[in-house]
Amino acid sequence: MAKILAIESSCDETAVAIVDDGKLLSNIVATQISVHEKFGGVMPEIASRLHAENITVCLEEALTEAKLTLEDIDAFAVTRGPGLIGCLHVGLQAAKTLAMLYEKPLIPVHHLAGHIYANEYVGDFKFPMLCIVVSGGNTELVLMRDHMDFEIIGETKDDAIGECYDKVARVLGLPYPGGLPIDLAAKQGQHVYDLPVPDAGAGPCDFSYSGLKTAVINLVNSLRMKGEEVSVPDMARSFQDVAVGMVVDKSIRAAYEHHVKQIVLAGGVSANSYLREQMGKKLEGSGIELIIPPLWCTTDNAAMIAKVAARLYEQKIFAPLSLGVDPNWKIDHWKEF
Amino acid sequence: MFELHSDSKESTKALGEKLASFLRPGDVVLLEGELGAGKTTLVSGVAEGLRCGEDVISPTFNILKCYFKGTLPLYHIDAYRLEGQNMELGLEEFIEGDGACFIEWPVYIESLLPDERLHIRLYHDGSARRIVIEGKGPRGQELEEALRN
Amino acid sequence: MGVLLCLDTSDRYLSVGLAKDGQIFAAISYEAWQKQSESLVEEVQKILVENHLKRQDICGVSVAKGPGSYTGVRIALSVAKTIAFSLQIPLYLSSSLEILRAKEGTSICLVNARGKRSYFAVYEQGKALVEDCIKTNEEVLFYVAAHPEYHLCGDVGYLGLESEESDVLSILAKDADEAHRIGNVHAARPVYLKDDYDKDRLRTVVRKAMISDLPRILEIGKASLHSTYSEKDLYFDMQENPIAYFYTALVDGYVVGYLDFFVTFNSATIVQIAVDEAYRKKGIGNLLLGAMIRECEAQGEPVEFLTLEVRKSNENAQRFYKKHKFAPVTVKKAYYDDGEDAVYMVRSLIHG
Repeated sequence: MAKILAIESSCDETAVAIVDDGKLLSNIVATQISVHEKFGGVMPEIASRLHAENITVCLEEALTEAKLTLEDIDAFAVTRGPGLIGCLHVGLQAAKTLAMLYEKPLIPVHHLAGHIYANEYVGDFKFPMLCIVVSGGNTELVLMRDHMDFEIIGETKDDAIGECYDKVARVLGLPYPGGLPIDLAAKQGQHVYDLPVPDAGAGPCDFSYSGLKTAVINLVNSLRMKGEEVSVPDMARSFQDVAVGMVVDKSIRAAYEHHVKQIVLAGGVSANSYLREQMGKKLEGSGIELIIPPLWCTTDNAAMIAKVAARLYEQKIFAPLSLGVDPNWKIDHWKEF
Repeated sequence: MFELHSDSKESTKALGEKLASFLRPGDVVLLEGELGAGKTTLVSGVAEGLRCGEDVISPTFNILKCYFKGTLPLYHIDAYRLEGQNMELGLEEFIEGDGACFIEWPVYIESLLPDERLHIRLYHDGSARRIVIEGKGPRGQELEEALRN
Repeated sequence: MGVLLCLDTSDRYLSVGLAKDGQIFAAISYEAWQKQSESLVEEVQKILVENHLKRQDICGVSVAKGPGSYTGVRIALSVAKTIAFSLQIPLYLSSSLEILRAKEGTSICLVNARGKRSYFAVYEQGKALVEDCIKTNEEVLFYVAAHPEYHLCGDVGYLGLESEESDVLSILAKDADEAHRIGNVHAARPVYLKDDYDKDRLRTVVRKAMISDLPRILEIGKASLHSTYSEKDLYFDMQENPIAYFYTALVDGYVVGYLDFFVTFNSATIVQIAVDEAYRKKGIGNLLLGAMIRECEAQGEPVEFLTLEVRKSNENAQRFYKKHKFAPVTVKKAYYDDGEDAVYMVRSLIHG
């Protein structure tokens, strides 16, 4: 019966959650999105500042809501990567300080493992399982043969899919973050613009989004130069078809190749309705189960970090107080810290 | 100032690897060129040269990516998103830091750039690339000479 | 009586000290560039253990708040804030320049700001002759040459100068007084100096409302909307009402505004939006509306319209809504309890 307090500050949400034996007692998220909006993306330095300002407020709220004091907590967990370096530092200092003061274990958690395990709030995992990790900073296909056993079978060779959405949104004059606006606009458009499906070169499961982004930018610019109007819904639809189509096709192929029982979506882009719909369609009658995370779990939060931490607590995977952050931490190296 | 030709990603990468062997803490390299010209490819060559043991991916989302596991810390900045923001983001700590710093779209953080630096400009030349290398200040010229030979 | 914990990682060094009665009795200090994040908490633990102290023995934390390395300043401050919050003990913030000063006389205090600039201040015991500011290195060298009688303090090798030894921990211990104490630990924030963009707007955070916001929300609602909502009504919307969404805007952890709205099928209705008078015209209303729009976009069934009623006499509010693409649709007669009409305004969220 362990009570775990988890802290997440890898990007633009300061979050603290408390779980007790798997039960979520509180889940506090202080979002900064409104601040970053005008910059067309997260500004790392500003995000770090806001984390430093919000961290104790979030701790207090999480404890108040859980009706607990720090003395009641059995372990402190924190996201140590991947993410924005300055942001990770803040959460890490808070977690280490608490572990030191209250002489309790410190649990280092991989951010993407958190996004994957957020799905455990919806259903139990069945292995082998394929995880489609799609977010602002990551695009990976991860194969799991057992709990906490991650193999990256494909990843982006340049930009992440979420970053590509944000850039395309910017070119089309849609707000930041670009995911939802493009998704909504695409619903009213047709696939009329011809965009190339980028070839990632390397492995069959690898991705490349830099080329697609460039193709959209070039096409929009050349149409505008010719004085032709660019239809935002049509461009959004054409782009989304290719961007999401690439994820769907490669995932389905990988799923059959590795005989998976389940596919889970994880990360911010997994909120995309077209991705959810297409995955659902393609898996109909396949016998492969699709788990879709609840919308609240597609943005960063600490509940998902706590979920992983609870497993690590059982296995006594603890870190020393000299723990540092790793902004490029790979999920298959989650035991190395 | 001198020019090189690169007919493939591999040879752009090899240039990065060669550059890596001359780098010292505090060195600043500015990378200019259009989207897809090979700026990030060059940095991934540097990362290999420094034995960072990690893939270099676009820093546009993060603005700054750090690689600490090699023989020298490698900082990779993409200032693209800072256009017109006119704000300071603590990047000086990395530009004048303990590692080598590569900056894409340096025009957007002009005020932070040191006088001594190496410019690498990459131009599309059909499917090949024309690469112009120019050192500024004594240290910049030293690096230029090292690459020329 | 307990001990005071003193921390500084605002430049290249990592310094941890323990003080009693204003005197440092145990200290660690070494150069730790880029290693402060890993080492600081461990060093705090070490020094506590070596001196047979427990958390209950710490009676206060004194920390350098900058200016200095952005990352460095945040590291010590995050640790200090977390300790002060956890143990409910006083937190003292001192300028990173102030703590460099010599024990006597007048001191020019310097920290490398990089980009050919320095953080600069002149301190005489207890008071600043020149407040913390940023100067070009050229200006600094000129000032230093013109004041040979002043002590030169800080790590000034980068200027080609030599300085006197500073004892930052002793000064952190000495300065842990009421003047340096910050009453609201949550509001402790580094001083960056270089930021022309660290304005009110950026210190504002919009998040889902929390129960602890209630007293302030009640106060703001009464003052700016003559709201008759009770704490119970607000609590219901915040915690229980399944169609209600409740957001709070905070500056330094202090609640300055809120937005309560309902989502029903394809439309969202603003129930109440209010910003504390002292914080108006700073874009806080914009942030709250922005949060609402994002919440609407995140609904399973997309929300197509935002709607609201506003008092006919409240022209300021109508102007604000018009600026945010709301259009007046109709007037609802005698809508309010006191008989005043309401203007019904609508904004479409559909693209194109």
